[in-house]
Amino acid sequence: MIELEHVTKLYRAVIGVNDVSLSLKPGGHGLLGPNGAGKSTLINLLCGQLRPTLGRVRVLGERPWNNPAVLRRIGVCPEQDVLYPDVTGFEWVAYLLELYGFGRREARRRAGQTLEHVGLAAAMHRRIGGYSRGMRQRAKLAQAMAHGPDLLILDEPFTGLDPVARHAMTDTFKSWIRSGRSLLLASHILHEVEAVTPSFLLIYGSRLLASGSAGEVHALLADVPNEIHIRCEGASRLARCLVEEETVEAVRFADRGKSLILSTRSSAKVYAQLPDWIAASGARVQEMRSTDDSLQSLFASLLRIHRGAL
Amino acid sequence: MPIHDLGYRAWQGRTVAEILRWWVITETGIRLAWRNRWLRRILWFAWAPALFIGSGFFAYEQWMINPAAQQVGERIARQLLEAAPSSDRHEVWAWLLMSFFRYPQAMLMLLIVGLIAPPLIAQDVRTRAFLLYFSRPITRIEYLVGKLATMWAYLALITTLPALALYVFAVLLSPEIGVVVDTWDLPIRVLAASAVLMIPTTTLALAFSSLTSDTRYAAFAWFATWGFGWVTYGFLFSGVPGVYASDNWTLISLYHTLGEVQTWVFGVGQTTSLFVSSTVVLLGISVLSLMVLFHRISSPMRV
Amino acid sequence: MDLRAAWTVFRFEWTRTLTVPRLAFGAVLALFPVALLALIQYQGGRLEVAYGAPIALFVLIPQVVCLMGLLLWATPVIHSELEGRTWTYLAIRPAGKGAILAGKYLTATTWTTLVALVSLTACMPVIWPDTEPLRVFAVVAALTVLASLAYGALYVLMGVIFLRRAMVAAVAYTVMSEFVVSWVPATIHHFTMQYHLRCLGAEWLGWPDDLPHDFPIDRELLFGSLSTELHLLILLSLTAALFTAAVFVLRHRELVRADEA
Repeated sequence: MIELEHVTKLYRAVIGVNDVSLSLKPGGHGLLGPNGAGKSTLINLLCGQLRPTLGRVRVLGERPWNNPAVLRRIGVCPEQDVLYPDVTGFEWVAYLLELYGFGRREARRRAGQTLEHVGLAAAMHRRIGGYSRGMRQRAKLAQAMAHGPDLLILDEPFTGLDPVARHAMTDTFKSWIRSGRSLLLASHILHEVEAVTPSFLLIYGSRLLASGSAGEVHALLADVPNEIHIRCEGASRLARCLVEEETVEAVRFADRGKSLILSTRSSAKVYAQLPDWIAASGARVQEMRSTDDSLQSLFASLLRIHRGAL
Repeated sequence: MPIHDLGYRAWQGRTVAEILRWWVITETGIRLAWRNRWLRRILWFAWAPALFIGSGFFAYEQWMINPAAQQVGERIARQLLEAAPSSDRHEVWAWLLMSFFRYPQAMLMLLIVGLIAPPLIAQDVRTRAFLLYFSRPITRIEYLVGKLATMWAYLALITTLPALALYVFAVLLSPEIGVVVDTWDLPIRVLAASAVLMIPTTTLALAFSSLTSDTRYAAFAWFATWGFGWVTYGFLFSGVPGVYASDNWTLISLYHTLGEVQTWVFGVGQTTSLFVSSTVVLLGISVLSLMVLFHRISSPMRV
Repeated sequence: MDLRAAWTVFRFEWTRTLTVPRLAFGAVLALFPVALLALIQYQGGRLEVAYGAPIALFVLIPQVVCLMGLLLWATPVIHSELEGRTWTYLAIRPAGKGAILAGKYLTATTWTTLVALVSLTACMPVIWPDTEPLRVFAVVAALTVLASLAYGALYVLMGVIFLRRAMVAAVAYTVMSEFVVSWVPATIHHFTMQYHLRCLGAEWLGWPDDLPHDFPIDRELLFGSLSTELHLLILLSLTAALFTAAVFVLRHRELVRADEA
């Protein structure tokens, strides 16, 4: 469905994407990375708005640059906000549908249907200038979906949405994938992507760091030193137990002795034995978390692997 | 749960003097405008007319003292003198400097202000950068001075500095240093003419920028003001037989209104009766523009 | 080029021009020549130059009104979308960037032509030409349409090349080329629009070979050495070439920028 072969994009001296190669089959995929990582550049390459400086881009088997055949089969929801303040959502979506070649009547029918589907039934005939952020986001989604593309490309679609709207949009994306169509969802928030699709690409510093399912990535990191933060009463007693264990590499105190941070390369084994150690020490645990669960930590670990530090 | 103090925390270290806070806005504006390649190209060309006018100084001075040079440059000098108001050194030099202001640099001023001014406030409106500016201890006056000074800096680069350099150039190419005695006031007149040029034009351009969040409207308003004025003046005063107009209609053209005052500043020829009304018009434009500016930049903060 | 898509863009953009501010601006632009001519009359004057009325109408309508209208609507065709961050939504449609540009070009030229024709109609009672007023009206109207198309193509090309600074570039180019170079008695003036427009005007108005001695324009610069058909052909060819160049540049230009850049 999507193929990139050693694709590099340079903006003069700035690297947008750096030697990225990937092959994605039809289905749902997440594109994860912090701001400035190269997600938007990659999306612009895929939807034919940029040409690669080096390498080859293929979407649905063809080069997307200036290719109406490809553009007809993809729908893009860019990150940029919509700023036609004097135009109604319905008029805007219908207009963009007509640019796909639909007749006026058909375009209006589809626009109405799709706007209802995304929850803008009541507001579709109001001017976009009066929409809230979430409503504009839904209008953007409608224009991407209305023509029934084979591939939907979404750049930060959850921005500005409240939790209820996020939930509804997540369901929309999941049913999109279930219906046999494909989707590429770009975000910098891990759980947003994980809620939609188990397959994702990790991009950082314009490079593709890893790809696969969440389980595969976490398995990759299984032997990477992981830190576990434990806030408890009796931290010193627990520390005495932990330092005797081989699977624990290091233990240090934090929060003025009220917390422990333990480092281990064998997270799975430690997690299995931790309850026994805690019970044996008599410590009362108030909070426990892995400091590496965040996306930033994930990337930091992957970078260290790539640099050969791990 | 600890409650964090998220209010503005006073910096304990050294701060820049309050009177210089506008300079931060100006410096940033200059740097951002400098990124524009076309602006840099125009600035490069802005000094070219100075070379041409400079040769006029040289030709005049040579014609005055060197009979041999008369034969060589007689035709050029005669054309120059025919156009010049008199043969008096002060008046010829003043006339040459005024011509520099009025003709090549006026066009460049139009382009440079049209390049820099439209987005100065319009983009702040569009991106809501007002909130960032006025959440800092910056007053409206400092904000305005900062924005205006961005344009003044570039205009000085294409008018004031080349004109002053032209004067120095003329002195250096004169047969004796004593020419300074006759012309010592010209650098001061150059500064005054710069102020006459810069203040009303930049306040007007900035007022246009403050009225819209779409830079193209601000740019268009700027060019339309000059264009419509020029065309009207051209129709009324270009000597078309049968067309009469009271001199007061000159004031409809900003370019020619500026010309009246600049002519007086440089002391070239006779001061016309329009000088007073031209001055009033320019003052009026400046005051009205400032009022519009204050009103517009205060609007996000009005409840 | 997808003509249907171009028409869709034209329809959408045309609806957006029918707002109060834009209509008000159109009214101001249309009334400017009327006000100026009325002012001359009010001052007790009358254009006494031979063929003064056609010359005045040519300067005011196809030149001032058309150029001003196109400066506002044609030069920022792309930049307005980029500044509003709506360009991506258009560019990802299969209709193609050429069709989008054609639709916007059509909107700008139609709006300008309509305003200019309204202005011309309003000017006629004020300036009423001495001879063949209807012929003068028809000729100036035709020149207005040609000027809108030609200058529209030129400004659209500038809008595609210069983007943010298109208006400044258009002003600089217009002053230098159309108002200065077009009057230079050399081959170069054949590459300006104004030269061909005024030659067509002089021919269509049937101006005689021997113009009055006080005629303000040199005969050679007014009639040139080309036939009417050739002037028309060159003007239309320039228009087509400029518009084609604009489409070519737009298709090959990368206009989106990502945060990484």
